[in-house]
Amino acid sequence: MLTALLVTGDVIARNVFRDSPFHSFEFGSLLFAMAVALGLPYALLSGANVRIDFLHRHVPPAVRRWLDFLALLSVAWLGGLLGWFSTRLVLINASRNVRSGSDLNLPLAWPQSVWAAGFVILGITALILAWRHATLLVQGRTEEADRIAGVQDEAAEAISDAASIGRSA
Amino acid sequence: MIAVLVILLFGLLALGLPVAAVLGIVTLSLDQLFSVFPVLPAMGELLWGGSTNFTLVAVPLFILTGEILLGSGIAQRMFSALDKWVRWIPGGLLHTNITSCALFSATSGSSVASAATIGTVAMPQMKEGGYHPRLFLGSIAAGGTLGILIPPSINMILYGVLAEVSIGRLYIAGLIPGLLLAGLFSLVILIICSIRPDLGGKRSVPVTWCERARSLPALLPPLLLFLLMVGSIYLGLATPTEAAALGVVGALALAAAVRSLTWSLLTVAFERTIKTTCMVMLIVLTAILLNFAMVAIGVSGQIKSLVTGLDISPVMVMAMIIAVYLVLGCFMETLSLMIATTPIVVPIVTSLGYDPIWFGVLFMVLIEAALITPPIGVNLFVVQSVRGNGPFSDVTIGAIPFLVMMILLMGLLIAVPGLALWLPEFVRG
Repeated sequence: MLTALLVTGDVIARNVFRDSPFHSFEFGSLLFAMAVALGLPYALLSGANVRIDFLHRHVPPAVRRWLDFLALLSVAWLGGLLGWFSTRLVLINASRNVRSGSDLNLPLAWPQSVWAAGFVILGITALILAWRHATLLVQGRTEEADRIAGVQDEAAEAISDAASIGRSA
Repeated sequence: MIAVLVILLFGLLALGLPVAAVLGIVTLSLDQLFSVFPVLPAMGELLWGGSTNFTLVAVPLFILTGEILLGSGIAQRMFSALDKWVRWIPGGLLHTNITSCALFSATSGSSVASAATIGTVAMPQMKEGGYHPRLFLGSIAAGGTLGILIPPSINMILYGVLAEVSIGRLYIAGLIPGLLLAGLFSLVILIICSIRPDLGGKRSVPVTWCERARSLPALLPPLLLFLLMVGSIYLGLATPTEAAALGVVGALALAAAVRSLTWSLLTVAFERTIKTTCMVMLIVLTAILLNFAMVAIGVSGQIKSLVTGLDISPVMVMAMIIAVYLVLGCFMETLSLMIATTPIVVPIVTSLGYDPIWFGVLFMVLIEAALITPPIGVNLFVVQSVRGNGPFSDVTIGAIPFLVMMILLMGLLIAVPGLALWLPEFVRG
């Protein structure tokens, strides 16, 4: 919402006063990058990762749980990979003191550190979830394991969406 | 190379691994197997470029606008106002469903939001009006899909970023086909209800012109939002992202005006916006990496030369692409289908000599079709869940006539590309 207000302020100011006092282009982009990266672990914990479940629904439960475990590991791997790419960029930019090529002239390593941290936390969160999933499976608590790693049923999600819309309508 | 790409991509997706992780694995595999110079060092910069892409900032802004509008109640007032204008046509409320979806689509960038909102408002009137469930439910499921064709559209923004085409031009290009599709939906209802008047509900009380005139103010909020979010782009006052920000502020003002702006509404809207945006952005970021790897190691070039070397006409290739997407759309979630395959299909389309803006519009219609084809058709699920009971087959069968209209529109777009390309050219002068 902050981005929306900054951008709106800039659009009005640009069209009325021919000036962009809020630097919404730069602030909006930086806020967006940091918010998305930091929101990734939250999205993972709310089960929002998109998976194609057509075959997944038709395999025996034991195979399905193996696939769920693999899915969590693959997210941990992706978090690690993106974390590595981004951290490398942060270190290079910090050592060279790279700044944004705009009026604000911000040191890029600062916002980029927050952004890189988001990917690293995503990887760690997925790794913890994978460990928890495996432990629950070993203990025979399969229902709990399915809750943290199973594919979110699209129909169920649609029902919850429609229900919340119904409540607010 | 192409075989490895296709087998890895669809094989891993079929295993049920997360789409973003699959795109990451494919990117790394292509790099390790085929790259003559390492592309990985460039990935950090690419990732940062994608993360700070100002155009993509429009995605959460549109989602937030939709979430605020859902809670504001403007849809109910708009629905009853439109009903007064179109209920005299054979099929009555079915046309109201379509026109409400079309108008709501002009303020919302999402098909699911359009179907869920209009479905919630319209459903209680299905039994009351004596409508046949199949056609009624089908009209909402299909009408809702207009959300991604009629601007603004989240899917168009993502396509625009990945295919590197102007989103403003895409918006303009989608306008005529979007309205045409809404017209085709109404036409098929008219034809069916003329042949079988019992499907079109009981005739309702006639409406006076005075009542119609009094209902007009209820149509102002969605029209004002459309002007803010799309008109500002056409007039050159704002970029698509800035227009989306104006939409958020407009939606907040509208919700405040009707006294439905509460903290709980905002909290829910923020939470859902973060969740959806992060999910979409992770897939988009990995698709950007894949896109780069494909160009760097020459897969895109290989695909192009393979297609241009085929001894079949471009129209035949296009028909094959449509057929593949219609099949894939039955099994894959639409947004990931679109993001994962855009880097592969756009080089094919451009090498055949088609305009990527034109294909963007055709692609949106294909994605719309995927939303109403079972077994994975999100809009079918949404409409069924709003209905609450009754067989699911009612919705899937009810959507068939509308699916036929979508295929007809694709045919029209291929035969007359000007349907999508004339308005952008005209506006540009």
